[in-house]
Amino acid sequence: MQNPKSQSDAASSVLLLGNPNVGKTTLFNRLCGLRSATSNFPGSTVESRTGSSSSGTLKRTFTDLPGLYSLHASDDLSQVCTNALNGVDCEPPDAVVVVIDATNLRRNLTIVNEVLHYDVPCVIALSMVDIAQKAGLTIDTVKFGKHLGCQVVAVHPRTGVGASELHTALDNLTSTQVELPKTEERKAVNAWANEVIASSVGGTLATGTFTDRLDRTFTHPVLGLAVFAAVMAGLFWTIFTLAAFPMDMVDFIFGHLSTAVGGVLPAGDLHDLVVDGVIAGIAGTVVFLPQICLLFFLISLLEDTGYLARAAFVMDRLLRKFGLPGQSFVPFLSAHACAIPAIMAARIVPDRRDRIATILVAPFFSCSARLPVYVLLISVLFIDQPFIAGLAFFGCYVLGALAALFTALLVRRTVIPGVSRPMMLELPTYKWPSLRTAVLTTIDRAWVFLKNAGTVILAIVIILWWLSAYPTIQTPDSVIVLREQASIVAASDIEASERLLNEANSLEYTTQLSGSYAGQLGKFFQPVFAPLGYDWKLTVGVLTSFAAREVFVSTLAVLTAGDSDVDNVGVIEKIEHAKRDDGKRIFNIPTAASLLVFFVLAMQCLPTIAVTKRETGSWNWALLQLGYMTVLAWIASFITFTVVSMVMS
Amino acid sequence: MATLTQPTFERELIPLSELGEREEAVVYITDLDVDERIALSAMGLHDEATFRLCQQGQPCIVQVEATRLGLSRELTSRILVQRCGVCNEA
Repeated sequence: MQNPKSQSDAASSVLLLGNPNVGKTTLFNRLCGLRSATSNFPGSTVESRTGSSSSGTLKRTFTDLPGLYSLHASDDLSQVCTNALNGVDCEPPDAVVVVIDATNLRRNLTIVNEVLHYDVPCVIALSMVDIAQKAGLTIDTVKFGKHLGCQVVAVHPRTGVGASELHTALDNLTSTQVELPKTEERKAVNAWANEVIASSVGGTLATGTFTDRLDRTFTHPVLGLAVFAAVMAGLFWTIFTLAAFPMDMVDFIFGHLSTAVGGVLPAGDLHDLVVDGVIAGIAGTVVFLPQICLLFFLISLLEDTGYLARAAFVMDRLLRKFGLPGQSFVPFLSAHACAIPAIMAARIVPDRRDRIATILVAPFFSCSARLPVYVLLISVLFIDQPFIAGLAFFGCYVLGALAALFTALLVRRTVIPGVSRPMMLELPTYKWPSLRTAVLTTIDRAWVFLKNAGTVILAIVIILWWLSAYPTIQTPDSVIVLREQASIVAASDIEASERLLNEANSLEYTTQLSGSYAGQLGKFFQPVFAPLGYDWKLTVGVLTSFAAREVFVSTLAVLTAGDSDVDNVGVIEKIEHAKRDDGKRIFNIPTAASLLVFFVLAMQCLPTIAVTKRETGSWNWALLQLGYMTVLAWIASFITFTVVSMVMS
Repeated sequence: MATLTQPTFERELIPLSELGEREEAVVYITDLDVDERIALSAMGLHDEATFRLCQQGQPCIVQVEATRLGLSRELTSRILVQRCGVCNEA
């Protein structure tokens, strides 16, 4: 058939479409930079990024569609892309830019042919031309474009070469009618692709042996595993080492902000809400932003190198023993950032049973929301022992991974019996990672995290503050006596007076908290967690963290805001030194160890449960996941608390 | 422009798992279920696609044009191919 359009106009709304690993997102980042936002497509969980870019006076909107091999596959990605092309649930696009890899023209022409059948003006962005040239190919873009009936622009997404030419092409959209093969006739499409290539591409593609050698090393049963272990150890070591300074800075800034705002606001409910609720609560989460940024930055760099696909094969040998396919490695790696994108990434697992098994165990892998809790508890367990702290941190990840694997084994032998499907995966070209892409990805993810901190977590900390501030408990007589004593000795001994005042404040705070709604709630549920060593404050922290794990530190920050003998200390230090009602520290070693194990294993994330339901299509799987992980976490924490207590006694 | 020399292929069909490294061959996919076949086709390894075997074993790595695909050993034993006579003699 002939492609249907023949028009000339400037496009303001443009879709970016193409195969995976062709540089589409890098081109999007180059065109839009920071002027972009991440959201879901209407009615789906597929993520898209929309950004703007200026061409002269025209502001152009680009939408980065997910990478896919064909518009006719029977999956959500294809549905989302065809909806976007047809303007279903969104504005119809003015044009579509199909990004294709110059070194893989035959395969990429399949999707080009499919797009050309739509009634949307099309521009071809030819990426990786430099690599094709180095490999011995020359491409005549004019002849190439004539065969396709649209403009072809050579682009270099990393350097931005060709970006202005792409804008020019979109400013002056032109297309001509050409004969196209029917998309469903594979042989006709192949013949057409061969004809297009034969008439516009010169030379023969040379294949490198260097890539062969790297692949041989990275997928080797022993060497590959060693490289994988080294890469992962380096990743986590870097996160811990480099994040320490900015974390201290954030902690310092919030500490002083709290003091400054507290000094300006008059004493009363508003003061307490802002200082003890909002600032303390937000600080408890935002302080971990540097670690989360580093994790996303390093994963993005690693993904860009092409190594991760090889690592998936290394992991395939291991995962198949537990009834999971190697593709599960990709969602599992994403799970180290967040379980929600990980569960959605499980769509790359082709078999439904494999996919459900992957979804069920993905939340065991330590996500970034657990990082704040790990940091807090490990710093309690291993004070001034950075090497052992690093090992313990690594151990948390290992424990989560082991729990995931053995649960997968259990699942594949009980509720979803069977073996996983064999793996097939495209291995992207090795290349130096793009710092720009990594930085933009990190900023994007950090912004999502901060928005979460500014909305959900802020709401939760305000509710928690209210629960801990009301009902107002009358000041005990002992506090009044202590304050009177403080004023009497103030003239002769200022230090003693301050000590008495601190004691009075701490006693008043503890009394208020103990009688508050939060205190009542914690005491009601505390018997359930008492065998794990938790007092009622920790119980409140654990209960609220079922909404979202990262809330735990914020909750403790709110609950222990006035619970310190020392002023002007950071939020982490305040939590570490918080006391139980009997005056002992909340975080003794057995309790901290037990709590650490609980947070490694427990399913404490309502949004994850909702996404599990959506992706599996059943509440049964979501509730099974919640119930199993919670019970396992309780049992493992109980064993940990008992054993560590026995060892230390 | 590219010179299209038609490679000749041996008649004998062999499993991909028996092909030698650096050998070129053409795909004659069989014994794969529909989903596997569609997925492989979309990635470029469709019927009659010519490829080079980069690495045998687990994973088996094949190259179609510049696309490198990693395949599990269970798959390679079920993909039948024809050796490319001309290319492999070169």
